[in-house]
Amino acid sequence: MSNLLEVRDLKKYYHLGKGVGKEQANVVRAVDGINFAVKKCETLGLVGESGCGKSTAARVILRLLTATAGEILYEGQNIELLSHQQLLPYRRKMQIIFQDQAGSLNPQLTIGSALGEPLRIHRLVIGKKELKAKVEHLLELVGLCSEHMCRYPHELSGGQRQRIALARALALNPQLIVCDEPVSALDVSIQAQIINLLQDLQHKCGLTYIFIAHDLRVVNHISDRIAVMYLGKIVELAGKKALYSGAKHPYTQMLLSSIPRLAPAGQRQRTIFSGELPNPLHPPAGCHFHIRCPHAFVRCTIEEPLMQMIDSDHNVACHLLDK
Amino acid sequence: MLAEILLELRNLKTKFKTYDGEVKAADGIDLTVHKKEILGIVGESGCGKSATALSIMRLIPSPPGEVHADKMELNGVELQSLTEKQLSKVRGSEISMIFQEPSSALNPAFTIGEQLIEVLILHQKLDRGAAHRQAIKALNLVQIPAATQRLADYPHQLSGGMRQRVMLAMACACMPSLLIADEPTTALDVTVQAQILELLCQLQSELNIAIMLITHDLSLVAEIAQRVAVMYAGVVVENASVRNLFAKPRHPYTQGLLASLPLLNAERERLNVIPGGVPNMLNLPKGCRFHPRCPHCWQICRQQEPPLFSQNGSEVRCWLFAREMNK
Repeated sequence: MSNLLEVRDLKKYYHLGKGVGKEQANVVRAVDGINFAVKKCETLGLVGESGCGKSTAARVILRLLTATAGEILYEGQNIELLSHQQLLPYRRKMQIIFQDQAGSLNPQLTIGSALGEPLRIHRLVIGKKELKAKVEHLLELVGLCSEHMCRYPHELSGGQRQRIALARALALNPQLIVCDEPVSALDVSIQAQIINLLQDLQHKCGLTYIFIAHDLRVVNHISDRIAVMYLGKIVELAGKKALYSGAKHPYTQMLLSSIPRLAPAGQRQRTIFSGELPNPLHPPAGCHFHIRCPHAFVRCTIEEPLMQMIDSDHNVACHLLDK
Repeated sequence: MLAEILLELRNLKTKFKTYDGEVKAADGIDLTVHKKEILGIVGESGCGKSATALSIMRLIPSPPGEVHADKMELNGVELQSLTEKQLSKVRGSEISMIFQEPSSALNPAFTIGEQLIEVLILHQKLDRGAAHRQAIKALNLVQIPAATQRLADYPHQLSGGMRQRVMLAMACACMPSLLIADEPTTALDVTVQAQILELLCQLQSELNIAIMLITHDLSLVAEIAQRVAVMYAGVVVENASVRNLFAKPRHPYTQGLLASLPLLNAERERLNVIPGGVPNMLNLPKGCRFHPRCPHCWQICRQQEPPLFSQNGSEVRCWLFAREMNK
């Protein structure tokens, strides 16, 4: 299958002001040279702890933020170079849904007008009748009914609002939807409903997802391939089976072992890793992970590891591979 | 293995008066916490788990809240009969509580040292020097590196995980017999969450405290608790040992919750879904509160609320067990 989206050496730096008494301006490398490709109709999961740059990466890919460097190829076209006007057709193809469903819907707009807005802006419907029919169809698609059209966001539950956000993303018949922590704020039973809905829609509409979450269980469930990020870099990228059964990077292993399992205490062994995410303003030299890594050796403190392919669908950036 | 009872709660009712009517956040809760055990309380948002915890701490503001229980005894002392002055002695030294958001539970204008020392001076009547030494000990207990220097830090200088450790240090500084942890790891990353859970286990065994762990995540409970109470819409629907609950969940709600969790080993192609949403607490369904979402619902479920049926220490609030279990 061909690649729908390809990201090459993408960087997003934030320059912080020169504070009083500081010698040089600080730079936060939120996204620091990431490479990946997303095939048509697949789901790429993006996991990492908070502050690792996964949301920034998503926003840069959609050009909601401007990249500092790098290329974003959508069906071979570098959208980083396009003007605002030229970008419009691509906006239609790429949509995003957010974690905070209440904050992403305008409280003053009824559900009907919120869903109709993208259709009007992109002139995809003619006349009120067609608009109404299309909005009804969208609501049906996400498991709601036409009576929700005249409701306001505050009248709906969290799960329903997330369905509306999804319907709005679907309004323009996109190919790619970036889901930024779409189920993190929802209750377990509602979370399952939304995950199933996402999977159904993927089959029905032929969608491609970039699915961002901090919960490896959810990402693992929905994704075909998973990229693990740490301090602005991808440290491991693999098919989900390979990642679950044969994680090579110590950070991935650490994430996997941190996940609480449904096995009562005493029935399994767990290794607890110490340490927390370092300050992204001053990331450690060499491999960013070396201060938390149980296997770190001298080379890790000096040289940054490069991405290596160890299998057709398994890439890891770690010096342990050469050892 | 029947340990002594530490906290006994019988028929707790916590109501809130609102403009739209009366909300029964807790509607007849029975809970027992034994000494030195970790009891997990699981439920979705709005099921009354936090209201129960706050009722035990007597922290529900009245009005609009109203708390009544037939029995609310800690170590044999009825908490409802205590005066406000006696209560403030109990809080912090007998029962303490940590919350989901450590940054809003700490005062941003004082160093963590000042906040820790204040607790010790108030409850243990220590002088400043002794309290200072005790504060360092407390920080060491929760494994904060370089404790002496950290005492001079303000909350904003610490990470989320460190702040939660400080909260734990503060909560355990006076050696309470019960620690209520209300979603202590929800705001934290998985790696830090694992560290905090490990710490909770350690504190429990080292200090011999009982912990009431309130969470929405069943797997956290599986990790560290000995017993679990599952709550739904203001009532406890199932109460069992962790081993029994996960091996053989009885209540349809518990079964549904367990089946809706994504598993890591990818055996689950599709998640099981509990249809519908949590009921409106102002307008609860008649009969069993879960019946509109229950796959096994039959006639009696729609008419009459089920009592707690019990057998061998497991309790379940469901008519399906009317025959095999005792009322």
